[in-house]
Amino acid sequence: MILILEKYWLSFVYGTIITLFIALSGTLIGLIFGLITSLIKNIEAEKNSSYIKKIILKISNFIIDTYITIFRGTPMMVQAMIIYYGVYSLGFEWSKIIAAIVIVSINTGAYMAEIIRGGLQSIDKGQNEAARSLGMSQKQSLIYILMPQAIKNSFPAIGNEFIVNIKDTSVLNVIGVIELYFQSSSIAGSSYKIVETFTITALIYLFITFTVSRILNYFEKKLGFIETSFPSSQTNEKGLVKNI
Amino acid sequence: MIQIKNLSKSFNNLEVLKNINLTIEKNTVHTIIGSSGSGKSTLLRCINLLETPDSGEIIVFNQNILNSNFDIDNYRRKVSMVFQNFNLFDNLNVLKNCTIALEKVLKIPTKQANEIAIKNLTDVGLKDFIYQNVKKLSGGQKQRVAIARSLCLNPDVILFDEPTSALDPEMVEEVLKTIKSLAKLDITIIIVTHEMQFAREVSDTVHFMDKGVVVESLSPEIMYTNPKNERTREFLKKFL
Ligand SMILES: Nc1ncnc2c1ncn2[C@@H]1O[C@H](COP(=O)(O)OP(=O)(O)OP(=O)(O)O)[C@@H](O)[C@H]1O
Ligand SMILES: [Mg+2]
Repeated sequence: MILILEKYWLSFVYGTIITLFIALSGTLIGLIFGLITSLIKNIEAEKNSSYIKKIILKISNFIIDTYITIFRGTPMMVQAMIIYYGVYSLGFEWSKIIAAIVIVSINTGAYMAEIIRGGLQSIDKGQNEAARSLGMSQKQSLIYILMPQAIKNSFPAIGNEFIVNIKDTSVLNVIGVIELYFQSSSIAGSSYKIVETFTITALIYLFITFTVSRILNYFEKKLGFIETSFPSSQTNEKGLVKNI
Repeated sequence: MIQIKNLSKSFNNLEVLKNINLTIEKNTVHTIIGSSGSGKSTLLRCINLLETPDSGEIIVFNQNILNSNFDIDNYRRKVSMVFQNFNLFDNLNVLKNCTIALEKVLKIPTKQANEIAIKNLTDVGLKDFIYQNVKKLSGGQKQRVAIARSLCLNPDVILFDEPTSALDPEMVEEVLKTIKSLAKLDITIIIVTHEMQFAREVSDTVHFMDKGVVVESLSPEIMYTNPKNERTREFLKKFL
């Protein structure tokens, strides 16, 4: 094992960085997709909305529902093949890293949309009524009042998506993205030491996911801390900013 | 100021409001009393358009607010609502609860919005709590923040739906005192309440509702001493 590490450590490091990079950017962009889709889905047509607005909302809701169903109902490995080679066959030569981020983002977006939806449902409907009764539009209420609470409520689930993504980027080896799993395969292929190599790989994955979940726990506690026990005497302008 | 004509509202097959007619003059205080389920909250929520009536008219500032092209968001700023459960924004502190609508709806700069909010928070006795997390306030303090939050928008009308019903008894008085102080301002107030002594002191007119109808509307002196309707007497007996 030490021999393998000595010889191939750079490949492991490179693979790890790529994996982390794809997982992190995919999760963040996916979160943004999830927020946007649930924002659109929660804007309801109102009595005084115009016909065009109602129709646009109907169509976009349908598209979003279809998107969520398809991407949660098929394996990311299959999605990767279709998206990567699909775009390729249209004549666009795109980098595998970009393709990987796009695939993970779209896939994560579908899950995030469901997570945020759940987060929104858990909010008391009085919050929205109060916002509306102060003259906020549905959109303003969502952006300034409901979404921040939904994100906070679903913080553990959002963090969990990141951890899942760290592991699931390994399926992107099917399109040849040089992430940790792909690197490990190559190393195993040239060293003929499959078990040793993948034991190292497993330890790296474990180390990352363990560390990340520790970091997420810390932030979770911190969020909870602001909520439950912020001493009033020490709450200053900064506390205000943090609170938003 | 507010004129309600033949207002009806059903939930599923339950007729909650039946042909309500009410007139509320500018800068007066009206209380609505009545037993649970009689439709008091629904009536208030119709005035704020949190519920859409099935039929009838609600004329405010000489406009029928039920017209399909009516600007609801703009209207709600002028007709604000204080809820039984306060409904303070959990993600914002006291000050931000008061400034968010000023900043985002009225587009007032933060500094000015803060000044308006601090003035109103001072008026309700909460100057020292402006950076406090709302979850840490007592019920009475929460309701006073909610009142300040409404006042920041400088509304013409404030609707109170049982503002003290969710409070511990020792906090009821501080909130009622705050509401009483509003009665002196140029604001039209409609309050649903079970606090009969308070209703008697503060109201210009008291309306008794039962099973979806306004049974009678009287001055507080007459309502609490000599109501005409049998149902009103029956109801008021429970409070004497
Ligand atoms: N959104 C709703 N959907 C279905 N039924 C409703 C809804 N809101 C109110 N109701 C029903 O309408 C009736 C009147 O309700 P409302 O809340 O207006 O009564 P209330 O006079 O305010 O009573 P309380 O003193 O208990 O607050 C009740 O029977 C209630 O169950
Ligand atoms: Mg009620």
